[in-house]
Amino acid sequence: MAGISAIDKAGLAIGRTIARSTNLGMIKNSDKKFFLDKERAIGAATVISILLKDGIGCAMYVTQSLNNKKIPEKKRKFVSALDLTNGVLMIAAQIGMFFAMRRYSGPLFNKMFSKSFDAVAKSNMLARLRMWGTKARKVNPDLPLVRTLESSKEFEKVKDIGSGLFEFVANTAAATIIGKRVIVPLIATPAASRVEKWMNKHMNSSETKEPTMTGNIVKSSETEASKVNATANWNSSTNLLDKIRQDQIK
Amino acid sequence: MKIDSVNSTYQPNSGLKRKNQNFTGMSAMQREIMNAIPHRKAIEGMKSLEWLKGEIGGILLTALGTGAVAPIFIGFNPFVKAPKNATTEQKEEIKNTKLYTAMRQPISAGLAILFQASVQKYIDKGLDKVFHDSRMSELAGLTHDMQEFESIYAIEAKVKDQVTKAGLKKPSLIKSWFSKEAKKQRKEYSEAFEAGVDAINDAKINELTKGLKETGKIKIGKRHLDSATFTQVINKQIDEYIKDAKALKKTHEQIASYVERAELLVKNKDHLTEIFKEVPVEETYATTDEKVLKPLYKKTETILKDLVRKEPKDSPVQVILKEILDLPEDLRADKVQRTLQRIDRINEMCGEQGFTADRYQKALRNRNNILDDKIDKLIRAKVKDPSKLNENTVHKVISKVADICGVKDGNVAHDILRDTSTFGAKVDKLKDKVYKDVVKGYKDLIDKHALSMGQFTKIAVGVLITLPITCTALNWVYPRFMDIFFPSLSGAKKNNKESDNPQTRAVQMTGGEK
Repeated sequence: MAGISAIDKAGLAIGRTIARSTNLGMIKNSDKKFFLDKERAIGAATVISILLKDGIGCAMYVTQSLNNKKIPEKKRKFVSALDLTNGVLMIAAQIGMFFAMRRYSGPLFNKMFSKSFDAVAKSNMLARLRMWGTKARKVNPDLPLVRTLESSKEFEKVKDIGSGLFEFVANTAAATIIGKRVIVPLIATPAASRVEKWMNKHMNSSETKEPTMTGNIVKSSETEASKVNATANWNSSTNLLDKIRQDQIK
Repeated sequence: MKIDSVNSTYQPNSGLKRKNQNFTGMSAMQREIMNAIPHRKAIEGMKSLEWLKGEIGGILLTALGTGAVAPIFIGFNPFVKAPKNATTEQKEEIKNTKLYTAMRQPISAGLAILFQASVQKYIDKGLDKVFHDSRMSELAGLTHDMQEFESIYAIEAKVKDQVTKAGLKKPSLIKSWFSKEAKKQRKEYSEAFEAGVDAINDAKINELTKGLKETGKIKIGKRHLDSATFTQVINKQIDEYIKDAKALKKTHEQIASYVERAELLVKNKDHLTEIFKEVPVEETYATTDEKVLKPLYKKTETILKDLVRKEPKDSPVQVILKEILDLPEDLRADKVQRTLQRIDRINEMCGEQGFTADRYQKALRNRNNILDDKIDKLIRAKVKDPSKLNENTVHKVISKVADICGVKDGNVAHDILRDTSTFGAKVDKLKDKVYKDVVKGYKDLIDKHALSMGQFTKIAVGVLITLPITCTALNWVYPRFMDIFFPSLSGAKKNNKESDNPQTRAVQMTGGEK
């Protein structure tokens, strides 16, 4: 029981901290924006989320890959170069698609679903609702009137629901599947080869060049030489663990 | 004919008996509209994919793309090739590097599902708990404290229990694809479930409205909504009424076209009344049975086509007849009736002196003036100084708004205002409506603030917690996974063979060259 109580207490403490955080200026500011224009605020949140999450994620992946000794050195730069190009292109693709969808999905929806939602369809639907309402009131006079302005508002809401679903499906098909997973990797991979070449040129310039994806291939004898050089470098290492390893080798 | 559903639709709080509810959160009328539009199936199809829209769905979808599609375009990318002078070994190395890098994607996807999906799932639930539990929510800002409302998870659990007790079952989605009975049962269950949720939400709104009417305050646990936010809510509601009034105003072009049509209708009143006598309007209105209605639609069409044939080609009545024939069959008889009613209304608006184009135009402009007057008064009724808003002034403002929205019964110029429940002849009813609208406005505000907090938290948790965990996990898992399962790609196999060489072993042991 004591354990449960401690968990409960911890949960309450976290919950209270979260609750208190709603008084922060940053959140109050965000609240105001969501209240005044929800769609615009969601849009801004999406863009910020992409920039922050994918931006930081990309930076972390690149740094970690570059410094990950478990990844073969021959492949390390290409892996991190791909992380970089993939990350940058992904951010660009997502933000681009987000704005493109905002701009084009509405007109596309209106074109594809005109039979249901154009001005004629709306006028017919409003007439139909009024007629159904009148018929219903003949059966039950206590029912409220079906009012044109309100029906019109409801019709627009249904259109918004349809349009929102269309935007989501179009976005999923075009951006999430095709854009982000087909086009981006297709461009990112050759771009990564170029970045890798750049890395080889500008980073660790003293190191021997390794075969790169752009064809910067050096003779294998040079690679062998680099291994010897590398071994020689370890001899001067100050790392105790390395010294023990070297002793073991000897 | 949708008469049955219309009947059930407009029965307030009819609870579990309501029909045609396929979309969560839709009003009864919205569901009617959805069921009647030609693209209903396409929209329902898109709706069935909506579960992917949620956090979990989004993560799964992204993971599917990352794990299954992206590796193909990295591993077999046609734009990355070995140079022409490359040896077989070098070509193999480039191919291996592409495949090695491509394999990072499915591993990354797997980890994203593991860490992100598991965390995201609980963010909404966690926040919901924090802001509905008074022990925590009372420390939150007033517009985040949702203790007066039940959590949606609690409501859903309660309704699920009710529906199950009522003997309804929800067969699985897969079962519903293969069995009509299962599909029907699933639909019935969803309808009953949504109606139950709506009923609980409506009851809470009514309870808070009652409290507001009695106290002039919106209660939030031991606290009350502050005057600044209250002002915001009231003024936003007044803006909605202003929007309604503006929507009823007619533009100069509309007035011109109304006058033109009125001249045509009034001039041909007797003729139209005579020829429309044959159309089975009353019979169409008297039934809801599709089997009876279908022949009536056919009869109406035959009569109208016959009238078009008989009418001289240059007759202005041809325009009206063709317009009616262009309508869907179920609306033609209704349009005939409304055309005749419209003539009466035009004459009524022109008064005892009878119709003239000028008089009718003046009457239409007069309607605009009435609306302008209401808009002006509504603007002036807004709360200017939040510090002066108290329980008494709240009642005063609401009464004033209801008075402004009131219209004179029997006044033709005011009739158009009855096209919305915002305006009406019964001021007491309007007052009740304004109180309820204010409470709904308050609910809208706290829902939007909850959404704001949710978005904020998700970004913060993503950046500060899940992202570093996922990145670090990938960094650790990926090379090890490749060494174990794809040693030929990672080079581990080759290195094992070379391990007899002390120099190579040294390289391996330090982890520099695998």
